[in-house]
Amino acid sequence: MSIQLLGIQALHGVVYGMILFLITAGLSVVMGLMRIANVAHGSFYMLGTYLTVAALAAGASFWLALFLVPLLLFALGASTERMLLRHAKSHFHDLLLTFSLFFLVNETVLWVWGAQPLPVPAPELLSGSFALPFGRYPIYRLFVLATSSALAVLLLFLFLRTLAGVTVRAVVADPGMAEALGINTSRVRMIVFGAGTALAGLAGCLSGPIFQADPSLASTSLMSMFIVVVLGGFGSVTGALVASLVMGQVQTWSIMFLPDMAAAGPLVLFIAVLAWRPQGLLGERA
Amino acid sequence: MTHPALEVRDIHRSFGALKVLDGIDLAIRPGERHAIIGPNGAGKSTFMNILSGTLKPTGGTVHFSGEDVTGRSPAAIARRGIGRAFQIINVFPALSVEENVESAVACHQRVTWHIWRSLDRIESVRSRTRDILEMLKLWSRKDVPAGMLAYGEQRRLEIALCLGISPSLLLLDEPCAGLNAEDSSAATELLRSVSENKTLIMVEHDMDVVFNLADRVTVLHQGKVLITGTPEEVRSSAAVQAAYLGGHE
Amino acid sequence: MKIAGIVVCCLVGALLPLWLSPSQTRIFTEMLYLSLFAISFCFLFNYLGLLSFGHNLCFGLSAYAVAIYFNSNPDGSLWIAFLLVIGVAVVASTLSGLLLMRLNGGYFALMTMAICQLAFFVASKWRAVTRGEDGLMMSTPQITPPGISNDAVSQTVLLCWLALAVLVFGAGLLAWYLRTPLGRATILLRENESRAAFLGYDTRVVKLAAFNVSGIAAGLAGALYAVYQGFVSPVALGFGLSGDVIMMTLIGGSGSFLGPAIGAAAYTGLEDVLPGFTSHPRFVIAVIFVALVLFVPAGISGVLGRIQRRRDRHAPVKGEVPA
Repeated sequence: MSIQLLGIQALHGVVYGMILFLITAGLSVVMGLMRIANVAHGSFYMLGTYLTVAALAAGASFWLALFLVPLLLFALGASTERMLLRHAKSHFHDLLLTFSLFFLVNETVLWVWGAQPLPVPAPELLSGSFALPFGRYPIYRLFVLATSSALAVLLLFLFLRTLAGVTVRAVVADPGMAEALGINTSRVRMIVFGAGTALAGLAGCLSGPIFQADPSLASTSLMSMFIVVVLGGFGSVTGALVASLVMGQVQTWSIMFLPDMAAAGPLVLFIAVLAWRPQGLLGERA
Repeated sequence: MTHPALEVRDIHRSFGALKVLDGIDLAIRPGERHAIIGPNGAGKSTFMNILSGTLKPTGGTVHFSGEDVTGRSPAAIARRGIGRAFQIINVFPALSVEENVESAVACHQRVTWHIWRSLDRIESVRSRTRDILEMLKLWSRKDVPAGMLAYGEQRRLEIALCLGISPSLLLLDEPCAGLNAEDSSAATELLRSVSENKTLIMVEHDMDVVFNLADRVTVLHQGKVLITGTPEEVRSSAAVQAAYLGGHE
Repeated sequence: MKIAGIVVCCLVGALLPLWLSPSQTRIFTEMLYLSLFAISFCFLFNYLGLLSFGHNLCFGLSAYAVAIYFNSNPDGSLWIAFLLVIGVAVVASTLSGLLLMRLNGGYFALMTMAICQLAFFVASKWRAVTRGEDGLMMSTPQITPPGISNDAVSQTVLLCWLALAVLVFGAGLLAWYLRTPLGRATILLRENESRAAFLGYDTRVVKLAAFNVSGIAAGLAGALYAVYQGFVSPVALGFGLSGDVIMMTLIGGSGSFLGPAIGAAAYTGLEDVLPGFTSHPRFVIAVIFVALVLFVPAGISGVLGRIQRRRDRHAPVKGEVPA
């Protein structure tokens, strides 16, 4: 087990963790805000990857896709919240709605793009590898790392230090009180849902060249996403960051040592955490 | 020497930095009717929650007829013969009045696991249910869904549910809440007959009920016992009057 | 009156296959076992107010149990297979129930999903026992009821009758359970869980019992599925089936027995008819699913609303606000 190998693996883990963070940051805030388990969140992530495929097939450049796909998904997320979830009559109804959306997106993807995984070519500029102290590392992954880290800093700043962030956190903590203070909570919900979806879409776009476009992405990422949110706490961007990085390492190392069982890792972890603390790690209500 | 029906020693309960109960000591004799009163925020509900097992005390012990029940779950405490009725109506709304009480009786008679029998054919359950409903004048309404009863009837059903488990200690949370004067006095008489040969602890704000019914009264104030004594002693205590700022309710 | 209705339905159900063509009888058989599956799902939903996203756990595990049993004992008896299935269902529902009994709402749904996914994963990877994703071909057992010679009635019809008998048994089991004191305790949990505890009921154990009963019914349906298909693959433990059963419940409307049966029948009909109209039947089904959830008829939303109102109800002080 050379240092080089360890270094490369660890870095893989960080890249994976950062992608997971982009996906789950939005989910965590949405779940803190709306108290529903959004099963369809993974579907938005998957759509990000597939829309990138479509954009590239239509002749757009990767950079254009990187810009457009999150915008599209913001619109999709915001309208989902506005038109569907807002009319939900109960938490059961919410659950059922997101579950049905999950199916719809799955079937749409299968129809339009088929069941075979599709490769997503990285842009020419980012191909090849870069020499790091412990070995050569794909430039594209370094790019993903850089972009997601920058975004993480931006998100944390927005969430923790701006008025917008405080507003969102207020609505998470006590929606009734926030309304009483004059905050338009339904607009906040819509925007946050849209932003969370956009982030997931961005993650999908970025991860395309690494993980390919695969119709099972939505279901396989589900448990990883939820374990991050449960571990990190609902409504906490910082928590999502820490938990994602941890999960990233766990996943990468388990793929290396137990390749057959790696996919079950998040499942087992999720079951174990909820078995130990049925109310989630931070005592949040479900 | 007979044990007190309920003995509470040095009960503390904090919520984070907020100390709600700060050392409560109380001993209640078997068969006694005991009222707990106090201004809002005194800790009465928290105290009741600790007695019925919803909350664990952060310090101190609770003994029921000599047995330590500190920190036991609500179901375990109920099975030991402590019955609780609630201030906010807490019945099974879609079930009929009879089915509500049947459910309590069935649990007490430990027939839950008799899966070879149909519940409405178990004679011992049916007859006990009938007795309770007749005592509380609800037999004529036995088939009405509980959610559709008048408020006064729902209050009686609350008590009927509590009686269903044949408790020896009744914990009643503002049993006369929301009742007008006439219903209140009827309720007081009902409570008196229902608590014959049982120990009764009730939280109440209605002073008429308290002074008519209670053998002894405990006044809670800021998480401590201010005074425990007969209704007359409490009524004439200067400290109590000060705590209530010159009036009750 | 109700008994008469049930008897009539059973008679009609028994006579129907004699009149339908073999392929129609096959479809009818599918409706029957899916009805049982849907009824077992609705049981949890109606009486415990719990939405399960992985209800096919017992269904799929039982299907595998049956396939493995008949592959190692080609002349095995159906009776033993069904007893085996009940055993598997009890073990699976108890073990998963231990994990589930403290959970509610969204956490419950996610946990059921995780457990079922785990089973799916094991089924896909444990090639030695399950042949992984290729699935297990099963030597279909001969159904030999006493008194009927093999030539008088075809296996297709006999399978249909078997499905009908198992459906009646499973539904009957659930109906009987509800009338017992334990069944009443289960209903109490939905109505007012905290008050049930204050009466002395051990709510977690009651939940476990309910999971077991529901799981047995689902397992029986899974056994029929295995015999019907002659083939079991990880699909039996997959997402698709768990979504299907939810859809059946939505189509069929509220109610514990007739509703899900109608839903299962309608869904089976849809699945059969759609491929004739479109090359993407599952997509159409997904659209219908979303539409159903959105514009759900008053019956179901009435149930959902009732359950939600109970959940939101102020259970007396769970400790956050001192008074």
